[in-house]
Amino acid sequence: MKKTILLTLGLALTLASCSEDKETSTTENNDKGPLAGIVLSSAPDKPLDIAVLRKTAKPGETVTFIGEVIGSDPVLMDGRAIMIMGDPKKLTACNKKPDDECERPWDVCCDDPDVITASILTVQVVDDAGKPVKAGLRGVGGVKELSTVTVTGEVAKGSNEFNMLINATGIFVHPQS
Amino acid sequence: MLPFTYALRNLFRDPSRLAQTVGGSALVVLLLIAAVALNQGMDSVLATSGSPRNVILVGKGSEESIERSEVEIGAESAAATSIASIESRLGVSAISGEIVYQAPIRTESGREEPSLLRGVLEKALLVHTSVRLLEGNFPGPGEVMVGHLAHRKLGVDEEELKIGKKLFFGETSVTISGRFEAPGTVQESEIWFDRNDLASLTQRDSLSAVIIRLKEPDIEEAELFTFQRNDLELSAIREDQYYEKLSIFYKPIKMMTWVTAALVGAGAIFGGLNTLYAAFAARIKEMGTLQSIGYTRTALFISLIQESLLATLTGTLVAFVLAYFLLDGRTVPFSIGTFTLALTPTVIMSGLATGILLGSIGTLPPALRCLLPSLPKALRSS
Repeated sequence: MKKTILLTLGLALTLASCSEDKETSTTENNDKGPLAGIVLSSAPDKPLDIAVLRKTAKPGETVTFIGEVIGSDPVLMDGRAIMIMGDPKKLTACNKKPDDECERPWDVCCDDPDVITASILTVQVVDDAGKPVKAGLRGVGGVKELSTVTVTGEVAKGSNEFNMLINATGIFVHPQS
Repeated sequence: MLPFTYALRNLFRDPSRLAQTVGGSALVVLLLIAAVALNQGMDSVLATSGSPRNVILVGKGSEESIERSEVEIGAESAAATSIASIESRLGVSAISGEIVYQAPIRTESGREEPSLLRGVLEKALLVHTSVRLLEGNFPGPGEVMVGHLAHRKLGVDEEELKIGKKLFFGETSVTISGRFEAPGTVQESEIWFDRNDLASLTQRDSLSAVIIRLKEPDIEEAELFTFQRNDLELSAIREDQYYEKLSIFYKPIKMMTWVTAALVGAGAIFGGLNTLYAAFAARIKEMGTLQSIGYTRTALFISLIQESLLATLTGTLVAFVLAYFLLDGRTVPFSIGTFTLALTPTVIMSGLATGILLGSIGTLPPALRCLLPSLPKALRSS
């Protein structure tokens, strides 16, 4: 009986320490992974709204803008440093509407498709070869769906009036109120 | 133990009762075989219709139905230049922009049925690698190529879909230029048009999907493309996963086949139990007599089970013979294609297990009722 109790306690402690290690290692990936270098300690000044940026920015230009991780489903890709961001002044996440119990409020499905198209852009972090880094942005600096993020980066080649791609060099995730 | 011949002789005591038991168990087993074969056939055709190396780019929100999807025509060339992992043969990329449409098609004999139409260019053969041209040629303007089982979908004889025959989309006629097979896939029931023809017939200036064949079954680059070109509003889904999702859609139909089989089977089982109760009730005195000369209740119980198993397994054999002639190889059309019923080992084992369960567990209540009375009571019964 004593042996059984001691064995059970020992097993429980081992499992608990294993899960702690897992949590610690996940945090370590976010804080010290390949994308840790892009997390900014403070929000850059005078960010533009995404809808304004879409109309004014040109490929090659360095820009700073603010938006939310909304505008599509999914908005974050697993395993690759790429995400969709949208302008909260033009788009409304479903969870901000009363009595809306949408499971994926970031898809802004209630908004006009033309407004959505004009108010979103894609943010990616690229490696030396120009390809998105093989690590997801989820959790980096606290990024998740519906997060408010200020981004600095360069408008990628190939961006045009219909589609904008930003190669980010810095991101700041605003604390959620 | 009682000799086996005792059980065998008892079976023929009442030929009409034997016929009822054999017939009832044959019906239950046949229904079960049909339900299992139907479910297996549908699952099998949907499982083999998609390839893990093929990725379907559809319009966002249409991941569960290609027919409702709209994709810009420019998406095909954009995907071809952006996704490096697309397979290519002799310098041609395995990428196919297609229009998929459900519409009624009329044959020359006047029979009109809904059919799945696919508007393609020749590159489709690089993507749909299970498709083989059996005779004729790939459709050009004004022509169509029909699948090997398209006649089953349309409910007509194979003769009506021979090369040279005409089909009608509304008032427009098209000539059958070729026949193809795509074994075990839903494409075998489709009718393939020249893409430009189908675009004008359906008055659309967009595609339904762009299907790409990758060098490896890794969807990552295709997903990346949908993120980087969110102006195209695309979703990437692996072809095998697309058809797997469709099989979930058909779950209610599969449930209905089980419910129907269960209801009819339950009726047959209760009828059989009734017959057995009556048969064994008339033998309580006989059982008592056998006990009095030294046979144990266990030996008598085993003999009753043997008797019942002989009858139900005979019914199972009858069911297998009927299934072989009535079901095996039959094609069944459904909304997106056709599947074939087959007596696979799983189907046969299910039927056999049912026959054994009917003969053993089904006999328990009447056998116990027959053997439980005490010896004096059993000997006094009429």
